[in-house]
Amino acid sequence: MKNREIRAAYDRTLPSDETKEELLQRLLAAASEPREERKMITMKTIKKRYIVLAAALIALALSCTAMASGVLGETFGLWLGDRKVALDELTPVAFDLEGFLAEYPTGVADQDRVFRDAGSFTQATGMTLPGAEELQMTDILLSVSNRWRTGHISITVGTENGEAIMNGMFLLEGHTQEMYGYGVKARRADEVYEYAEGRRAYFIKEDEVIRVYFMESGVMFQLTVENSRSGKELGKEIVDRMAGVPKA
Amino acid sequence: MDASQRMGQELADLYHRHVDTVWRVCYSFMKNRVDTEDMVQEAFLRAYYVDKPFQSEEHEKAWLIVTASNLCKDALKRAWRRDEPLEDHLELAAPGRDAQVLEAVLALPERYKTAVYLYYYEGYSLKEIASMLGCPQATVRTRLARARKQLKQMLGGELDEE
Repeated sequence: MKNREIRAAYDRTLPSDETKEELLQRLLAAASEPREERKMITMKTIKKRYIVLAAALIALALSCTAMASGVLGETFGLWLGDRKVALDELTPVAFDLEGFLAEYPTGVADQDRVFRDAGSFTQATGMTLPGAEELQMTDILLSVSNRWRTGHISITVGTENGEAIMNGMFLLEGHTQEMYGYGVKARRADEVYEYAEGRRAYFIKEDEVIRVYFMESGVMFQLTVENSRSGKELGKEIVDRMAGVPKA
Repeated sequence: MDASQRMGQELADLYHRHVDTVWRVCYSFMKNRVDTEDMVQEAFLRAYYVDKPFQSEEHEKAWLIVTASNLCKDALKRAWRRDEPLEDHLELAAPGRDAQVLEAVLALPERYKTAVYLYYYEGYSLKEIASMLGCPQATVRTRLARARKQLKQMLGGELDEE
């Protein structure tokens, strides 16, 4: 049943004819490229990326500040509500910052400059991704902040049983931030998965997905899988393989 | 007209037939113009390269709506894409009932958005929506009821019906 008010609201978002024509021209240009090499021709500019990353860092810092206010002495890590949970400490990872910035002066590798696999990522950064030999890792996005000496990655990670998106954050030598980590609104994890040597991964259900938080090789990961039984199993499989647990 | 010109014309025709539909769907998820443009472009490229021919213009439209929704959901899983430029909000947040309804629609959980668009904007039936989304009719009915409840709470009353 159509609804007049909802239709009017959606129509309010429509762009001008000029914008639509510009978008068509970009679409035609992208379509004319060979399919295998086709890349997104995007509106995002370097300046825009800076704004986005700066906003993300500010948002992260603010959320961490809010959650860390009060009794928390240790300010690096994962918070559930106002409680910090026990994970390995975030410690600076091995990273060729100078080499990376020489090739990527903005500190950002995304859009049409993503790393296609873990090998090219390591070659450009000197950083080894945990589980790289056990898992398929593709479309790796990376941003590092020379100022704050921090990094964010986003990886499409796959096994024979499925694919998931995994974000991560890490510190570089000389980091200057006083607090860093993921904050979660939920006060309790829906499941705490114990894996190699008593390590813990925290499974937290959201609308359609489960977020899994865990640490490996100094990187704090946030893995996103479907909110389903098979999604949860995939999450555990990826966590296991990241930790080097042999395939069952 | 050579082969590449003909394909370009076909893509342009496809775009003109459905750009408004795909834009509305993508905007409801991405909530900003820059990311919406990226998703619209990707959805049309997928349609352009899809091997299976569409049976009708309606089939083409339904395929684009579902594909665009899925692309947006995937993009949102990458946390660092969640940016909402202020200028977009300033432009859209002019006072008025339309703006309030838009804000409420954009605030709906991701899992309700496609069903709400298909039902309230396009006017598809529950059965048609269930078929498009590959889920039971009861699921669609539940999503719509919950979305309606949330919209009612946010807007302080029922929506005007047509």
